Amino acid sequence: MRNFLASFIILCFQYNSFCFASEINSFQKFNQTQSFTKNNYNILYAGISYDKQKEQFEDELVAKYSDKSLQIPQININYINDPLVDNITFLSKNPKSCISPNNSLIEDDFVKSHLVKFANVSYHKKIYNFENLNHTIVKICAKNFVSTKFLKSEGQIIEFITTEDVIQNKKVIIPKNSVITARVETISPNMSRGIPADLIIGNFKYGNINLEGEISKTGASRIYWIIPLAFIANTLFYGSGYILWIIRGGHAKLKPNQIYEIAMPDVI
Amino acid sequence: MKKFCILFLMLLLVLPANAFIVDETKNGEINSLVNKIGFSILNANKIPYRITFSVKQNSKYLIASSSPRNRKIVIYKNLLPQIDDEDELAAIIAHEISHGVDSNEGIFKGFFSFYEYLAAPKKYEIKADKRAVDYLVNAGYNPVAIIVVYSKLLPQPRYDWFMFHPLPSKRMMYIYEYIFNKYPAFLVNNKYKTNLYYQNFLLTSQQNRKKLQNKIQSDSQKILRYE
Repeated sequence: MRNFLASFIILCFQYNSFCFASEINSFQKFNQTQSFTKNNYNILYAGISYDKQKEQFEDELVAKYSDKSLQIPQININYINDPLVDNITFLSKNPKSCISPNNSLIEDDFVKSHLVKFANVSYHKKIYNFENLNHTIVKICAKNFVSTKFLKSEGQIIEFITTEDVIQNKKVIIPKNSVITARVETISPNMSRGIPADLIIGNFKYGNINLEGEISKTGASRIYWIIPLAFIANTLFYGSGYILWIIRGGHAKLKPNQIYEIAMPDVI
Repeated sequence: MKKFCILFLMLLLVLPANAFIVDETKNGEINSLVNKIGFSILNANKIPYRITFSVKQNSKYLIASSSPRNRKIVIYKNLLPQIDDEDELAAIIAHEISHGVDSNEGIFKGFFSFYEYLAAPKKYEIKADKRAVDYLVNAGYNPVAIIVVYSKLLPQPRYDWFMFHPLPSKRMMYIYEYIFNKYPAFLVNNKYKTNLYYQNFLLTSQQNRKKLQNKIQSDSQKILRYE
């Protein structure tokens, strides 16, 4: 047992030191000895070697045992003609006429007709001054009740009202009770199993001033009690818990009495 | 005991013997590109959560993933040979960043957000696709690249009943509708108009686009179900 362990350790050490050889990068090395008979003599194949000066690998088997006078034989290729095709006159005159790839482009006609007015609109990468910690805050509240129950698509314009004067550099830039427009950016509807709806409102504007910030609201998440209750009910009586999956999550709401904060743009 | 320790140390030396020495410079370039794109998206969108990026070896099933535990976004190397430009890579990263942002929101800093995802994965995938469009535009990338990448990479199963992701045809149509409503200039001045994969999207989405066209012409607010 001791001898076996010692020989195993020595073998591992040899294999390991061999694998960490320095010259060859990302190449799987092997060192095997094989013996086989070919033409009545045994050939010992020692693998391949790396010539440092030429920087190339050499096949020792070919180098040592092959006949260097051997040449690659020239083969004459005899092409077979197709007399059936050759006899068809229009093909022989215009060989490429019947083959023409269909390079027609598929056009989005509705975009062309409907969205031409947006051709000159451009979008720029947004850059912010992250060093500035003193942002001018704008406090707003929704003018009307907003809910994902009634909002159907993104892009709807919503109005907010400022609750305080916005003062920057000792000047009132946005007076109290001014209307600020915003756009519904993303709506993610509520689903069964108590999954709530998500609503993201952004793109706040007061005249020409683009205000910074987003309002992100999520509805009531009922998943935290529906899934455990459904699991318990299924354990007691299989199938009864799945009835609870019908319950949908809450809608995302913006109530008029809730105050939200956005910020004046950083001047860069 | 001494012999056991020597044997154990020898075994530890043997274990890394199967490691290959890999050319790190190529991996470093890819890593720096992914970081550059990822952080420019995070900064341009003022995402207040920490998200990091890394590039890993090939995966059998994934092209990219976002960890809900540590918000690390991993791009797998089998994705990279199929990406033609920076916008396409940014599209994948933006989608994963959206998942990363979702995993921060909720009670206990989003501790249960993964379970919400598991309960309704398709909803959050569509939400991530839509948010990715916004992230790309704010970071200066072209959002139509998302459609191009999905058209190129995502296989189309028959149904998505028991799947985590909606059908790619549906996803591409929801993204198309989103760009149509919010950023129409990208469709008018479309740099991917003659792109092979975008052309294939136009070819395979004719029925869905017809539905959208009817919705817009009738000024309807109905949420469309695409195929």
